[in-house]
Amino acid sequence: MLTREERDRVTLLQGTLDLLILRMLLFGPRHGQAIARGIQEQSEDVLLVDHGALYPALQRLESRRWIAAKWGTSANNRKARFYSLTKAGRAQLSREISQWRKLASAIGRILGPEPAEE
Amino acid sequence: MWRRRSQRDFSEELEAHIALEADRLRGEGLSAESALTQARKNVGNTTRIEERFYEGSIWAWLDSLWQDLRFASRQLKKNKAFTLAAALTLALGIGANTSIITVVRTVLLSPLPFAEPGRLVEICSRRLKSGEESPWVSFRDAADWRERNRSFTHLGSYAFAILNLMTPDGPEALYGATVSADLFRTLGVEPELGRAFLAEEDTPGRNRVVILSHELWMNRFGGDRQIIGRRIRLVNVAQAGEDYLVVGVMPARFNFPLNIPSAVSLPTRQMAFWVPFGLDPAGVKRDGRVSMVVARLGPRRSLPEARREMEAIAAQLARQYPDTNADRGVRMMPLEDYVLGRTRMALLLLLGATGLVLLIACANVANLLLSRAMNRSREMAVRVALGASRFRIVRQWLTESVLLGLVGGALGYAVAFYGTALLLKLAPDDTPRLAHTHLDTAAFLFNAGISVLVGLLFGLLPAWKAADLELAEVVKEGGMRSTEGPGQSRPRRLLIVAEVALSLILVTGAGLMVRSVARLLTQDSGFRAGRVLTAIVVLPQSRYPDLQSKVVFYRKVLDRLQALAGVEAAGAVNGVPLSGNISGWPIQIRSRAVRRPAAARTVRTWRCFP
Repeated sequence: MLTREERDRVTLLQGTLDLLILRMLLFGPRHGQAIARGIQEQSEDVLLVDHGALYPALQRLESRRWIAAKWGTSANNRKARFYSLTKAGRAQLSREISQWRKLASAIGRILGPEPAEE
Repeated sequence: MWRRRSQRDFSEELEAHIALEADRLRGEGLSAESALTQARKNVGNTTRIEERFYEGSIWAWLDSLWQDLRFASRQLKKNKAFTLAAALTLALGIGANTSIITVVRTVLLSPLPFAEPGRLVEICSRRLKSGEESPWVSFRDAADWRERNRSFTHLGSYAFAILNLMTPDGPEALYGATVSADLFRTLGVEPELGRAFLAEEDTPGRNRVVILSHELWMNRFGGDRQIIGRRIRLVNVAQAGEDYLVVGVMPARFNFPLNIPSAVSLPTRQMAFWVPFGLDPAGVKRDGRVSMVVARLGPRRSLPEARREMEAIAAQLARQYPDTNADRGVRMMPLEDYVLGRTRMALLLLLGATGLVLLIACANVANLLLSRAMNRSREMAVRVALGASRFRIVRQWLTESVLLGLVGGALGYAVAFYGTALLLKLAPDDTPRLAHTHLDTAAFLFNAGISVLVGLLFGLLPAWKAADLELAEVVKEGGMRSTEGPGQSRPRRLLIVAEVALSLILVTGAGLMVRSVARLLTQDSGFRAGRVLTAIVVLPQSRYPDLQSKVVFYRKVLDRLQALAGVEAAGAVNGVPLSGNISGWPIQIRSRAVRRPAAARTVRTWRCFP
């Protein structure tokens, strides 16, 4: 039972969620809600983060020691668990970004130039 | 370890997330109440998210594993016939593999029981023109090699010997080796008790010393440490002396020579003793090729270098002694290759064959499981309807098949126990190191490991098949299903094709092997080996000092043998035809009861009694 708006959204490719989470943390610690919000806003509502996937992904990244977590207080004075990039996470992010760029441009070359706006 | 995080901590994080989301929505102008509702809606099913967190934790994993195990064992108990058939099939496959691996490990993979075995080289003699090779080397050539070479730190000679040990219960024939004094130094092995031979003990008249094997020491002398310095009575046909001074006992796993060339057939593979040659090279004829040679490469010397040097020395000797050495070259190979050469191929073939057998067993069991997967698709449908994820179903199936694999593996270990014993009995005499082959911890671990692996292997296809069901289809078909749909039989067909292919490889291989064995059996050897018994007799020199008295003895034995009921004919020879035993040094005299005495006469170089 999807709304039209939801149908236009793109399902995230496997593995890309990790990349986006790491990217969200590049300029400082954020909590889970802010990460989800950030991805949705910065993608101009194209990407919707499934919370059922977000938390397992955060757990995964934490277990690989790419991100670290600490309980803290949010801007509007709520207790929240803040995630921040570790040194290894920073390295992983730059690796994944360059990989993604390579992949995207390769696929782009195959698909050819974008047709004019419908 | 992120598993350490508590469930409560995680729930709190989710609560915080919802609160933050509600804050945001309120900021967009929603009322407090509807903001909270909307926030919850946005986050989705928190119970489901929490479940996923729980599933990721190790406790949940163990918990459900235990459930799966109990369920699986119930299933196996319920279908006794199936379990028995599958487990027996697997037991044969796993057991055979454990046996072969055990043998391969001790015979091929474990290093030879010498110091730096990689630097040991076997030197054989080679006819330059025909390329014919033989491990038997002239004693005098070996002495010259020892003197002239610069490649080897040590060069030892050895040959086989049979001696009678005089015990209170009468003489016992022992199989051992005569060696040059420096053989143990060449091998880099020290006796566990006493000492190795001294150089002067390798001279005529002073060679009445013996080193015992650990086994002989334990079995015959009760492991008595006072054995060193004692004299034991050993009767050697070629020499007059009978008392040997025990100077050493070798460690338990030591054995040399490791493989008995096809030229000699001995009833045991563990040498019981070592005695020095005690020969003066000058007094030995140069063309008597009666000993074998092993040498240790010096540090910083390579085999090709040594080969060039030895070839040059052989050429020198050929010029010096054209009568005997004109056509004589050398052939050198690492001792490891010399010892394992033929065995390696045979064992690897056997390993491949049993591997295939195991694969076929797996395919068979997979097939059985597949048909069960179809019969149980309703059960699976119910599980899926109740919310079981595909992963859980696959895991439950795999648990069952791994359990089945372990049952098969346990039975297989019993098979391996008898299989290894059988292999040892069937293996040809020249297979080295069989004496030390037995099931050990490593074999057990291999057995257990392969059981699990096999369980996963044959379980994967049925598990995937079981989880990959069309819920609607199954429910529609209701309880009336008895035939398979066309789509369901595809994996089974694949399995059958694989099975037939594997069987074909196995049968072809086995057929080829049977053919070569059959050719060997039908080969006309000039005599009929059926219904012939052989025995080895060693005569003490003290009681039979000359050839005449020996001939008299053999005549008497043969006469009495022929007088026995059921004996058609009897004969004696100092080497059984086709066993290839060339009369060596010291002289071994063999007697054999031959059905057609003429056969023995056809081989002229052998001394024989018709």
